[in-house]
Amino acid sequence: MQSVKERMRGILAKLEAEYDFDQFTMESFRSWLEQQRGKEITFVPWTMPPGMSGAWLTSAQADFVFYEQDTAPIHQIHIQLHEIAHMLCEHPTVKVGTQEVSLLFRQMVDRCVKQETQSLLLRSAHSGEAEIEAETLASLIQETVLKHERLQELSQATPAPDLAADFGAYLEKMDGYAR
Amino acid sequence: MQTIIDYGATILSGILTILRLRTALKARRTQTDAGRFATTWLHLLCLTFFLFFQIDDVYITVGDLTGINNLSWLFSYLFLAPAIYFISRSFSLRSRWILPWLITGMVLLVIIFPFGPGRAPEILDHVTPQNEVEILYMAVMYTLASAMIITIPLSRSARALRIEEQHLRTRTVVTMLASVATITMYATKFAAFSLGYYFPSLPNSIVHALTSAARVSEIAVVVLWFPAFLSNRVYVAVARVLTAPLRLFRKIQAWFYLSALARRLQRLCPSLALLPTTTWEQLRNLDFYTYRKLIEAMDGQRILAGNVGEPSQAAEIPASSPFDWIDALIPNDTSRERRLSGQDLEEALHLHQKFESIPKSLTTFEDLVQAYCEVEKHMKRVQGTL
Repeated sequence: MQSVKERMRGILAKLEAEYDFDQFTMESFRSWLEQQRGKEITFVPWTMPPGMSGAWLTSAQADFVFYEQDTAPIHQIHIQLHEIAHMLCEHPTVKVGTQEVSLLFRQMVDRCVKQETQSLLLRSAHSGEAEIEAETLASLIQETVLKHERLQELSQATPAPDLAADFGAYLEKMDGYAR
Repeated sequence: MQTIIDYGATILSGILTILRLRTALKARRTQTDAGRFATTWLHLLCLTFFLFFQIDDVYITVGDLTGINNLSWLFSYLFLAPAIYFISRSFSLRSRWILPWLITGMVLLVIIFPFGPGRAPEILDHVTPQNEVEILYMAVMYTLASAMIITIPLSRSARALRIEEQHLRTRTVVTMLASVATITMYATKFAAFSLGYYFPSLPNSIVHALTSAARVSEIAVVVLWFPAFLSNRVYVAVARVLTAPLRLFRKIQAWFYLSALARRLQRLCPSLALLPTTTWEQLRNLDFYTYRKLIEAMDGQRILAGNVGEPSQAAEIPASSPFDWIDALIPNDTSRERRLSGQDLEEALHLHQKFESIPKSLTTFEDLVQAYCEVEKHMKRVQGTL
């Protein structure tokens, strides 16, 4: 049976065959992944409860990656890559309608806090094995980026739309556009 | 032998002037550092003419053709002064002050010449001045040259200490040393000439010592100015080689502290996931694992904040929320942090406070690595007192 690292190396090998890491930026990687998945990926800066760093929710039109906004850009990018790794691993996640995303996410966060289930494993409500896979794949992607001497791209803040303030309005607009 | 050196130096300088003309013209077209290239080229041009008029055959020919003794000496100084002016302008940060000095100095040389070297017999080797005006003539030239060159170390010394890039700092230090060597050379030469004139009965040992000092400083000038003109790429390559052991030591040190911090965090927050790997593998891929350890420390910081920090400010959800099925998404039977108590709790609180003191303005990898290493160093220091 293959180890987690070997399985993730297999996914990375496919990635390297199709994506040019010499040109890596978070923006270009996201665009490339959007084309592969056929839907928009939206990074949403959010104030996560302590102990939680990020989460990935998906709808028919888009993927939503929530990430902690009150941390250094280098950590934000790591969280984004971790959630992207879940997508690349095709892990199951919560499927919702776009209008439900905001409320659902707030609900999740609230429950996490109330139940005091604060741990890294909960950062996107995945099982332990899925977390290990995502973390391993994210680290392999980061290692590849560093081999291509693109460390700068892992520590620069990515431009994010100011969604946190009025995320509901954004979703309504997007839902209307999708229709 | 001296004739060969004189011709060789003039030809070499002339070739460099022709070669650098292409670079200067190209820079002018592309507007990249056009001023600096033009200044360097003008320096080379003036230097070539200075060397040309120092050649014995040229010296004698100019004297014979014009009937004015030592006129070639004047010409050579009139080219040496702007050559030094242009080199000072290239390297000095306060070059606007030196143009008036140059003009004043050149005018003085022209005025003094007829009363000093112009009246002296034609001499090729200026070891001992013939009259006091000749001493004054040399004093003007050397003072002018020293005054222009001294602006380089004076204006650059403060900046040299602030420069982060090793190769630029080295280049600045070399330029400063070259400037100091040049001034020393003029000072020793002038001292030798003056003492030779005023004290002709000076013991040979003193004259010899002064002449030797002047020779050594002349060699130092040539040796130091040569690297001052080398390309930045040469400095980068040399600096990389020279600083490689130091950089490796610093990297290992950073990795060591960050690894210790990640282990400390995992002890306090067992759910923190550390990548399983060997020490050898980490040392082989130091850059990546230093990055990883920083990320693990940041992950641990957030978990720690959840355990010991302030309660969350997350928005309250209305009780009538329809998403009851959400509970199924949140595993509630795993990964609860073990309760901290006693010394561990005190350590966790102290570590949390230390993390909170890291300025939010730090964003670069290097700054963050340093800040998190400092946290671990601090924790090591206070360990016994907690």
